[in-house]
Amino acid sequence: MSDIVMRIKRHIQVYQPPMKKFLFGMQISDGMVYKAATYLVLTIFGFIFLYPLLYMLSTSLMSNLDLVDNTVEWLPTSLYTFNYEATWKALKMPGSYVTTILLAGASTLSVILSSALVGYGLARFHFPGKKLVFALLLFTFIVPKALFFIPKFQIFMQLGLKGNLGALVVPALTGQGEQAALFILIFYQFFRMIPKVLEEAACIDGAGAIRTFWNIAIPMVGPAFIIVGVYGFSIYWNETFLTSFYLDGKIQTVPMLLGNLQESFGGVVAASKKEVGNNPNWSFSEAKAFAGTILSIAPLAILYLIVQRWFVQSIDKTGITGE
Amino acid sequence: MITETKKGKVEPKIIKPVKTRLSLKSKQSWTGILFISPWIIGFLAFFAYPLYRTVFMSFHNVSFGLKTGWRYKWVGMENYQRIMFEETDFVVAAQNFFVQTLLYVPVIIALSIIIAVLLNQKIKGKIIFRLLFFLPVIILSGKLMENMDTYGGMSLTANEFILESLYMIIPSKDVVLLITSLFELIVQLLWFSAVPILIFLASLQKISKEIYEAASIDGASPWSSFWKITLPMVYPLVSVCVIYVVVFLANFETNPINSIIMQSKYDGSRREGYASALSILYSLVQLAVIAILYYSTHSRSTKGR
Repeated sequence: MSDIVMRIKRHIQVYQPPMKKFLFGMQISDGMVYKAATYLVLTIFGFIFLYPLLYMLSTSLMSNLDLVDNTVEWLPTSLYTFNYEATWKALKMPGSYVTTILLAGASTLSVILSSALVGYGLARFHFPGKKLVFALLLFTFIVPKALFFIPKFQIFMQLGLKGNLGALVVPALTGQGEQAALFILIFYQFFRMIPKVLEEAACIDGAGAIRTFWNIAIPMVGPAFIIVGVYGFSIYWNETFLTSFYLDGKIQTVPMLLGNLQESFGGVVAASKKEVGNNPNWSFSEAKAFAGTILSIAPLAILYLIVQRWFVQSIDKTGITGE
Repeated sequence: MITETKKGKVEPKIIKPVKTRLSLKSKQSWTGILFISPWIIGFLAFFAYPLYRTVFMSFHNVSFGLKTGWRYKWVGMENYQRIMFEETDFVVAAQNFFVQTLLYVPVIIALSIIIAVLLNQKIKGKIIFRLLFFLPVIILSGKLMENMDTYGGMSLTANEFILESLYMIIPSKDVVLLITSLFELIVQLLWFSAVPILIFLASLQKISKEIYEAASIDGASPWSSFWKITLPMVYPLVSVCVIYVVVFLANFETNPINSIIMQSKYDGSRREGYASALSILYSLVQLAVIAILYYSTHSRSTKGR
């Protein structure tokens, strides 16, 4: 009896370590269980995360008949693009795309320009009150935007910026755009990482500060431009609450139009009464709302796919982590 | 005449080096100030002055007439009194915001640390997973969230198939109900945690592999090296993320307080003065949330950044 127990024990002693190593990993390599758990958790989170998008995509491809049909869950009975055609008209595309791109593009360029200048000034020069500037930068970041709704409205009115592009571009040019403090800090970190020797050499060769900035410093911080450009563009694209307030409804971007899609869709229906007839697909449903939503985020998603390589890679260079 | 010209020639030679050395330093600081001058102008025009105006208006009753322009009538603390004691909408919304943020932020931080650690493993398809989790950095907006939410995009109950399979796996009905009701919340929190994931991942990539190797040679399991190495290394960033997330949640478009303030501006009985007082109180609430979360995470940080 005890002999058998001893044998089993010895057996375990001999075979346990490789088995344990395979399952749980030892020392440097990871085991199977560990790896499988990583995949499992990531996949579950990924599914939860992606669920709304998948749901939106599949619903936006359904006709109204499919929507009320209980047997249709994920896959629509046929590839049905009418929702997109209808919302395309209701969102006044492609004209509204152009408006949004111009608006967001102009604001982003202004933000890049001002934050690069200010970031360089903070990174390279010593002047009294620099610490105060940093403290105030942080303060401007923390304080909610709601605090400035009303006086800004009045100021823009006085300066004649209300209802035109100036309401976005002028604050952006002076370093007070959306999330500008963050962008200034990103540029600050990047400029600080350039070896100072280069600029000193340029200075000895007789280049002025502006010329050094333009010819030496700017080409060195390419990744910062990508990050700030993409992030700024998406922020200005997505921001509707304040923008619609300052623009006074005179310029309408895609996300703003999305906000009253239901009414504008009614307008499209009224305009094409002949086609509508008794077709149930012309009534407003969540499929239309989802189609509109997907149309409004599609350009950003494409942009993200194009730049993601640089975006993800250069994040750890930003030094958001350092401060 | 001759002596004068001599003096004139000699003097600059002595003074010049001193002068340039002095001016080099002050020139430097003036160039620096020149570089940040756009920000100074912007700060004064679009931050300091509006802040003063907000405080000013919050003590006044503001009205606008086409002929008279803006008119201000001093009312003292009346606006604040009305907000705090007479009308309830802001107080309720602010309480909700306060409690919600205090509960959400730790969950968001924990979720993002877990996901960042998992994304930092050596696994296949890492790029795809990263692509996925960083997507909200670019596409998340108030309108998107609103549309997903109002038309049932974020709730599991709309989908029979998933519900059925959940009932298959989990026998207890209560547990399934719990999962479905938590689902919507977790979706939201996951969508909010993209930037924290980014920040944590960036800092995880900076930890050198040698530390883990040394620990594992000394016999540390992955579990204990997570608690003893990974967490202390990323911990200083928790307070950064806390600030970011609170600011983000406070400014997010679906936040009801923002629309309360906005609507008050056009409400005949409230107008700009009342709205200004609202926004000041709101800022105080937000600063309080940041202070609580910041100090509760910061004090344990060993690096003390």
